[in-house]
This record gives sequence, C-alpha cells and structure tokens, in this order.
Amino acid sequence: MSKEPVEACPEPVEGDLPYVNNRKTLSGDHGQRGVTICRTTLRSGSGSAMATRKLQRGVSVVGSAVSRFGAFPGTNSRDLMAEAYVEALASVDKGFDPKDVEALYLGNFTADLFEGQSHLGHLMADHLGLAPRPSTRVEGACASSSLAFRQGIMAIASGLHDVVLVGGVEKMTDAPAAEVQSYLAAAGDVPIEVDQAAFTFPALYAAMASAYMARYGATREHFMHVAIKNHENGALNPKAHFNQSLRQTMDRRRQRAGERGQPVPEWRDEIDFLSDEKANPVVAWPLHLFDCSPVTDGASCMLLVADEISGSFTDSPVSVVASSQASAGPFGTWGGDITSIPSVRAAARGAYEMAGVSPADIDLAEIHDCFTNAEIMAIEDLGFFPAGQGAFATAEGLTARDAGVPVNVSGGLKAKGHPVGATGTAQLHEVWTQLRGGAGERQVTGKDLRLGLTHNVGGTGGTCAVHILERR
Amino acid sequence: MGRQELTLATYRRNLAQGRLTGSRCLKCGEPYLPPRPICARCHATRMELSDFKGEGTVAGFASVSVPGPTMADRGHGRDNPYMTALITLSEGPGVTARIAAPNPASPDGGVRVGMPVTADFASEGDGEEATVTLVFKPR
Repeated sequence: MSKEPVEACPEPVEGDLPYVNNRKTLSGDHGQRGVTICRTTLRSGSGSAMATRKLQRGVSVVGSAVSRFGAFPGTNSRDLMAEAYVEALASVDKGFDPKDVEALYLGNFTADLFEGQSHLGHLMADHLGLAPRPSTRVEGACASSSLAFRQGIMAIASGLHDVVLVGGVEKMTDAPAAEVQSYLAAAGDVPIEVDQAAFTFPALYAAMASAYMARYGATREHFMHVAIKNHENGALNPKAHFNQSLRQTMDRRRQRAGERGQPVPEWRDEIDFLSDEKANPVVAWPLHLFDCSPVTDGASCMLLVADEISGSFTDSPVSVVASSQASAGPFGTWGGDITSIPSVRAAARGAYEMAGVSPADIDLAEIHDCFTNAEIMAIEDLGFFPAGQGAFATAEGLTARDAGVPVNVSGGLKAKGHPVGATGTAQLHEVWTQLRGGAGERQVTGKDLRLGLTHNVGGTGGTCAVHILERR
Repeated sequence: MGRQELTLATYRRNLAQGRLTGSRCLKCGEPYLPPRPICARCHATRMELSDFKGEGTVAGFASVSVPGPTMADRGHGRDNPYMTALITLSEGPGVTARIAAPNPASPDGGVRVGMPVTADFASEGDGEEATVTLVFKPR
C-alpha cells in the first residue's frame, strides 16, 4: 500500500462563493505580497470553501514542554500549567528571560465545569508571573490549545508581538465520572445530539465506527491495533498517563490475579485480551474501554518567536509552515456520510496548500486518537491512505514508529492521555521534540525528520486544526 | 415570540405534537432540520418552516452501556443499554435520535447501517413530567 497524495489545490470554480470573491476584491495586492488564494471545496459538495494564505512573517518554536500527564488528585490547573511553563523556560537552548514574553494564549475546554472556574486567562498570567501582559483564553473543545497556538502564530505574524507564550491545560480527574460524561458531551450539539438523542461522547465516535465498519468491512480487531501500537509507544514516554504496553498491562493483571488467589486469565495475545469482555468491557458498541482515551490531568506550553529573532534563542529552531483550521456542523449536516470528517479534510487541504507540501512529504504525525477509530479516519482524511484503507494499513503496521509514516509516537491521546485543553500543544510538543532529535528512547530513527504534522479535533469534528512544523 | 419562528423552540413544540419540523430555503430549496434562519448552501436569509415525513435510513449507530446522568436515572446502564443513531431522512438532512433495538440481546441491538426506519413519538414519564421523545423504529 502506498501513500496517495490528496488532490492538489483545485482551480477556482465559476459561480464562486461571494466571500471568496469579496476577499479578492477587498485587497488587490496579493500578487505583490506573494499571497496565494486557493479555493478548497469540501467533498460533501455542500459548496463550502476556504481561502488559504501564507503567513506574512515567519514564526518559530524555540521552547516547549508538557507537564506529567495522569491523575493528580487535589491539584489545580494552575499547578499543572506552572509545571509545564518552568520546564518550557529551561528547554530554550540559549536561555530565556521570562520578561521577554509579550502575551499569553491559553487553551482550555471547560475549567468552568471541571473546576467551577471561568476566566482562566488572567489567573494563569498572574500565576506564571506574566501579568499585566494580555492573556486570552481560547476554547475549541479538545482542539483548544491548537487554536491558542494558532492565535499566537497570528499575533506574531501580524507584527503585533515578537515573543508569545501559548499552551493549554485541563484538570479533569477530580470530577465524578458521571459528571465527566456530561461535561464532555457538551462538546457536541447539546439540544439535539445530547438532549434528544442521548448521545454520550464515546457513542458519537461509536456511531462513526459502526458506519466505517459497515462501509469498508473493518472489524473491531482493526481498531484494536491502534490501541496496541499507541500503548507500545506510550510505554517509551515517561510523561504518559499509561506508561506501559498492553502486553505489560496483561502481565500485571495476571500477576495481580495470581497474588490474590484468583483464576489467572489466559490471554494468548493483546487481541485476545482486548476481545475479553471482562478485561475490556463495552462502553458504546462497537467501542470498548481500550478504544477510548483516558480522562487525564495535564498542561502543555510553547514559546513562539518571530523567525528573524529565533537565533537569539536557539540554533535549532522549528518553524511553523502551516496553520489551518476548519469548522463543521453536527452529524446531521454531513450529507449522510460519517466515515470521514469534513472539517478534517478541509483543514488538511488548507495546511498542505499553505506549506506547499503533500501528505507523502510528512515524516511523522501526531493524530487526534480520542478513540481508536478516530485515528483510522484521520489517517485517511489527512491523505496518508485512501478512504477505507486506514484500518487495514494500521493492522499491517504501516503507522508504527519504524514505518513510512509514524503516527502517534508519543503514545497519542490513547496512552499519553487526553487532558483536552492541553492536547493540541502536547501534540505539537512531540513533533517539536522529534524534529530536534530529543525524544530519547522513542526517537524516530532511520530517517531524516524534516516535516511533522499535528491533527487536533474538537468535538466530533466541529473544529479541526492541522499544523505542520519544519526543522530549519 | 411568534409561532412561525425558525428556532429550536418551534422544533420542540411541534415535536411534542408528533411533528418533525425543519425549514426550507425559499431561494434554493435546501432543507434543514431543525429549522434555521440562514441557508448554508446559498446564504439566503429567507426560509419557511417545513414538515418532514420522518422516514429515513440508519447512517450510524451506537448501543450505549455507559450512559450520562439523564439516561442512568431512567434505569439504563451496563445491564440495560439503549441505542442511538444518526438517521438520514428521505428529504436529505440527518437527525440524531434514539432508535428501538430490533434485537436487544445482540451487542449491536440488531440495528444495521442502511436499515429503513420511521419516526415514532414516544411519551415518557407521567403527569407534568411527561415528555415526548423522538425514537426511530424499523420500518
């Protein structure tokens, strides 16, 4: 199976959407500024379109860190953020003076519900010692910190700021489990999907999984391979929530059963373990417990600077070559096909166009695997594999750490954990670390890493952000 | 608030009377459910309310064993899962709603993608607490 590039930027279509034409009319100097406008049309044929542009000023990432991911009872989101920030300061090769930070963009889904705390931006600025600098909280459900990253990029590219701190945080695990279900479901369309249809968040992805299985002949076993791979990667990530492979999980459970004098389960392999309803109970059929990413506490942050001053901070900067974001309505507006996410296709196309690259150029990707089937849909929507082939490609090992396109070498949301507001910049952190060769035991070897992609989804695809970073 | 408003309130009020109400663009004819005031296809801002037949096919579904607080209060859980789905309506738009399992003993409830279904308006609860719930059933 080979990687198939997605369709290049299509020619503008007659009978264009008015706002695309307006933009061309409003600013007539695109040619001089070297700006390309590309009309990208969604596959659903709903006539949606986006205009893609280049940054007017380059942006580099010169520092980055994640806190430990896990369940930390009694902590507050500001504790997690401070942990990540202190480590991000120390990660800058030539040192960093915190006084240089000009603004903060903070991704957070809903501290309002998890901690009863709104208005998080100013509190975090104060806690990090950055007040009175402007601090803006950005919300896009599980994509919140990718949107914060994008706000930071735009602040620098516009010339308004030269040095910006971006990041995200979510403190989730102290809330009661049943409440967590309804907080997460609030990322969907509450009046219809939640109140009318009683969808839980896993059930929304389960519906997509059922559609994918029916259309392409995939089975639950294909989804299991995502979990097996990502837990293997997570075992090499000391900050991961689940820092063990499923093989290690099985061995520990057998050992515990033996110690307690209980019958020791005889699982042949990981697939056998995951097929055992006792070990891996159903959550929302077809998705089971090990198809779901965990509820996690964590924070992540990055220091962004204008390209032209990056040399003051590091000789190994990583540049932002694409920042792309798209929206979509609830399932009912997708044209009847939920095997593929419209906002992901749109954001991916915008990102490749902005960077001037194709999927085949991407050296590694951090993918939003909030559920195992989400990773499979994503590697298709991002153009790494043709529609319907993602499940089979994963089972064949084509997304493993040593394969053509390593996917989720951090462990992904599945094993590393999913503190929703922190996830976007945590994905970007892994790409930054890998591109600079600093990932230790889980470093991708055997190829020259130049381009890394992140794919971060809010809700069931209501929001999608795709970023591409390049080692300079 | 007028009765003809293109809002969720209109949708809910009509649903309680066994009607599935959306809207239709007066310029390009595109249908929407629930009703909305602006056409996403042609950007026109003139819409009329439009009743849907309530017939469609299953586009995707889930059998939920770990419910949220509302369905847990109604007795659902690991031993009593319920089913929910995306239905593609014959008029075009999709709607998410609960669906009656043809075979509750099966892990997938006996529901199939592509299965034809029809809307049913079930009364749940008693007295003042009574609500009408949209539940699709096999056609």
